[in-house]
Amino acid sequence: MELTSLSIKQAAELLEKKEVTSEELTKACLERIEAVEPQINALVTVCADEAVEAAKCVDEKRAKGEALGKLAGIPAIIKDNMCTKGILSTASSKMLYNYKPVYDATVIEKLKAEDYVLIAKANMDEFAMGSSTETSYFGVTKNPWDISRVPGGSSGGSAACVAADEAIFSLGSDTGGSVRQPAAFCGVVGLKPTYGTVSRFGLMAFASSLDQIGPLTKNVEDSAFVLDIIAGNDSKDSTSAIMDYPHYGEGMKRDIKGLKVGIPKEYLEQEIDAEVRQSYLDAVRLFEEMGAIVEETTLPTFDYALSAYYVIASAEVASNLSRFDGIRYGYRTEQYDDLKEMYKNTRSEGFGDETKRRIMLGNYVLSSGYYDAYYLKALKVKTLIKNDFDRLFGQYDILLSPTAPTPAFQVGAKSTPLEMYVNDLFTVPVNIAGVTAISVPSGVTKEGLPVSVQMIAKAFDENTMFRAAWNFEQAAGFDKKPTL
Amino acid sequence: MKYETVIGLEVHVEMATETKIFCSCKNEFGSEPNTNVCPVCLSMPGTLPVLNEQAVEYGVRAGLSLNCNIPNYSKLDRKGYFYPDLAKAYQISQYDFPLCGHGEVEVEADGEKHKIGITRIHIEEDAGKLVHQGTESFVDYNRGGVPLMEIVTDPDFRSAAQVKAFLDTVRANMEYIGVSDCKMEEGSMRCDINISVRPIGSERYGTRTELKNINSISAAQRAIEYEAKRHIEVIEDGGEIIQETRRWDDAKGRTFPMRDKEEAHDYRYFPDPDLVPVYLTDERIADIKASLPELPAAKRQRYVDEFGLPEYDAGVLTMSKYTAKFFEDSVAVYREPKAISNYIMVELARLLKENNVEAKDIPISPEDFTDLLKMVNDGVINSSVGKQVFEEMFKTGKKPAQIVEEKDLKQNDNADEILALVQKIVAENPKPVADYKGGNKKAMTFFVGQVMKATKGKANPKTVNELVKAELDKA
Amino acid sequence: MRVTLDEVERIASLSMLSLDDEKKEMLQKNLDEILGHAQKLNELNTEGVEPTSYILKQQNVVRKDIPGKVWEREDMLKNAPEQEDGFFTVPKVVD
Repeated sequence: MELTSLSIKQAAELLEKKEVTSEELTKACLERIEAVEPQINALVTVCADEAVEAAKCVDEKRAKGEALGKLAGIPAIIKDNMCTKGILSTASSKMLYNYKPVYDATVIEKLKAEDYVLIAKANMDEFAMGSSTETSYFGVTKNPWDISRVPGGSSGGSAACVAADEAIFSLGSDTGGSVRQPAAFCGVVGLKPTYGTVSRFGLMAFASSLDQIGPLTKNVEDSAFVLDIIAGNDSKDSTSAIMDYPHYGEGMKRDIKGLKVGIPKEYLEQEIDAEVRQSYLDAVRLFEEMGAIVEETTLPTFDYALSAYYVIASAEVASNLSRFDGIRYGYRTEQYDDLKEMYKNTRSEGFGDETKRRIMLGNYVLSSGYYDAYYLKALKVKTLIKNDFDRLFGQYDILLSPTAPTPAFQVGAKSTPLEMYVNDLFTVPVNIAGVTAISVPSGVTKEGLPVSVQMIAKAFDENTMFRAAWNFEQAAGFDKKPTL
Repeated sequence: MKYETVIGLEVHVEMATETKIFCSCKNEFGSEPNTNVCPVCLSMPGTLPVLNEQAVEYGVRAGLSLNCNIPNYSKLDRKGYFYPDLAKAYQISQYDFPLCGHGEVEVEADGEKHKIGITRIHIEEDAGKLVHQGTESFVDYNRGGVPLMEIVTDPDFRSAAQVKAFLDTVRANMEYIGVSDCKMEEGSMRCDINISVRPIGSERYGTRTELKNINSISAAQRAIEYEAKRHIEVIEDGGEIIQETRRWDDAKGRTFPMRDKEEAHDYRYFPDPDLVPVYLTDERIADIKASLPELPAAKRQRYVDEFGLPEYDAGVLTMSKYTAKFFEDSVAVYREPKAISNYIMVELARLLKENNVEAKDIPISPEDFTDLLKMVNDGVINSSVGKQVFEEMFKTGKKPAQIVEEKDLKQNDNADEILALVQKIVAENPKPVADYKGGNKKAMTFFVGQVMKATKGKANPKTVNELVKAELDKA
Repeated sequence: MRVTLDEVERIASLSMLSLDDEKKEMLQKNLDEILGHAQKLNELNTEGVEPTSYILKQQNVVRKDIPGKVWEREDMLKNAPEQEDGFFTVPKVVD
């Protein structure tokens, strides 16, 4: 087995036994990056020197027998919308083409405290808006399973890099499915924690009320392991949950006999790729075989989640991105005679089309005369969706659905914004309801593309979900890798 | 036609917290540019606001001091507009659920009492500052994120004098409760004025204009008087007032239309998803209320009731909590309220003003001050020497007895000595004596003055008066 | 069309974006399509339903009024496209 395809657990074991050094592991990842990047373009910045330096430092500490963190010497890749001190953090936008933050995001501080090795920053849809990583200022990321296809998005780089073994794990962010859908397209495990579980401090906001950072990993165990490190209350984030955090992953390997699994029928009523549908039905059968109590149920507000999502997320992003004005950081146009021209040209040149579209949409729904009809209406619908989920979680431990309606599509295949938005149909309700979900690979299509299922649990009940996911992972036995 | 002026105010008060409202940068006036800034108040990508609990507490204190209803629930909203001093291009403010609801205060102007309604008070962040030079503007974000409250009044004012009385009241209240020093000159209190005029008796409001750049309470009065006159002139000439924002130019004594920020009218308010609501229990509100000190209005009434002071005195003394404290501490050791009040209102006020000293820095202790009053009252020194000593105390911090001793200022009450002097002066000045005899009683002051001069002001004026009169009548 | 070109211009102005005619038309079409889709929301009766602005039932998350880290001005300014004498600079603001 190649070093680069190790899971966190496996890598940590080898490092601890000193069968491999972090420097070797890090260099193996860097070599892999060099080999595959020209094909997949999953990364915006590779910090090779810093990574090797950090790895050596861990090796030295280990040699001296010093105490080390839980991720000691393990190379990871971080989505480029998370602030890494002194290292380019662009959100894949021209607007931040040269931006080096002066501080670390809280998640980065937490990873650093566990002695991880930052090896690169991952490509993404600009400011996390997109479902294909085609809106990046730094070029399209390609799917490692088929480079004519997209890796999904917006955390396409984070998913592709793990699938292609450029690092042991990565972090992405999920606002409407941006971790889970690319994880599904790339055949890795992707987690969207409950809103409030992982600090957003240092995550460049897309839609503040929906954004959550989540890991992309090679298996479910790693997912819980990373969550356990990055979760926790942060006094710098007012929306960070104040509670006793569980030990994530605890009880994961217990069986799921008697686990109540709801199958919301609305998912299957959508236009779904036949192989995705079949893989999903197979997964449902596996759950039954494992002794879970599986029942069809209904989520009547399912159909409305996507519209509510686009209204709410756009409103927030229009406001969140207003700070990019060419004054304190980032890009400033060279073409201007006065302040207003400076503003307008900076923003028109610095933002890509999709970003502009969402800003326009957001300002439209917030503007005088439309607020009640769109924004307020969407917030009320949000209440109904949340109520629906609350009702279902009164009856079921988890809900099971496909992660995305189709496997990875061709680059350039989606010609209108709505066609693209529909990709998030299955993932968006989870963000609207503020609950948690995980995407776990369930199989591959005849064309050799991975497909996944999504398990959804109620707010802050990640551990029940991890148990379902781990058991499913074992039963499904997904072991395919892209042949890149 | 007779017109009535209708005025409403939006008063911005900077709160005297240690730190900014959403980050832990220092809230400090006068620092080097961009030294009280951090990633949060510079809106660096990824940063998030966290509310300063003291700003909430101060807001509630302010509201309670103005008799506002304090709702349990309030929330923070984003107000969007682009301006270089606004780092996020939205201001975190409060839209539909402000911290404080309706309130009311009574102010006195032109000898009459008026009730002024408070529409609401909300908390928000201040913007940075711009310095214009040549073809560029320089942006300093030190003030960006300083906690502000905005007090919005009902259109209840009918004169500039009422506005002044209200601003004085707000300033006094804020000082008492420790929320702000309300210095308009430093910008810690700012005031926008909404003004319109209408024929007396009319129910409908006229078209209003909003006046900005009001930098002192007296400027507020001048601006109101100017603008009301302008409105009336426009209307009398058959014109119409345009609803607009105008800038007061205090040097020119005029208002000028401001170029409106183009999109200023669509702020796209929505709840800030980075923050959570504020919920104040009834107990918490009651606790804050109980912690408020005696407020100026109550104190004023007490001074009248307890010390028998005229309302005017009570009003002046209670305008500043420091003056009021000085008064109360003085009365505690020497129960002569009126004498103390007189001295504070006249002598102390003059010295504070002349020497540019704030009331909180009064350099004389109430003990020394009352010792001085006692010396005057006991005739140890006469009253004009008393004023001289007081000034010396103010400047040097010395005790009155020491000053009197060092400068040999004790009152001369030796009747024989004074009589000899009077006789000598009367003998040397036959002309004024003749005037006096001729019925010009005022000629007496000449002799009193001469005697006082000869004693270097130390003679007991009462004795001098008596002796001079007796000698002149005899002559 | 639900969204007029005038509205596109008004919203572009609120958004501080300058758009050429082609972009305006594209955005008009896009917004129209997306907002058309959002009409679906009107199928749901939301009378008497409270809007959910905050999914977490947390309130009063506040900090103590104590000064924190003091940042170097140089670090605060170093990402600025233009700066001078400790200030960020912009083309002259006229009011």
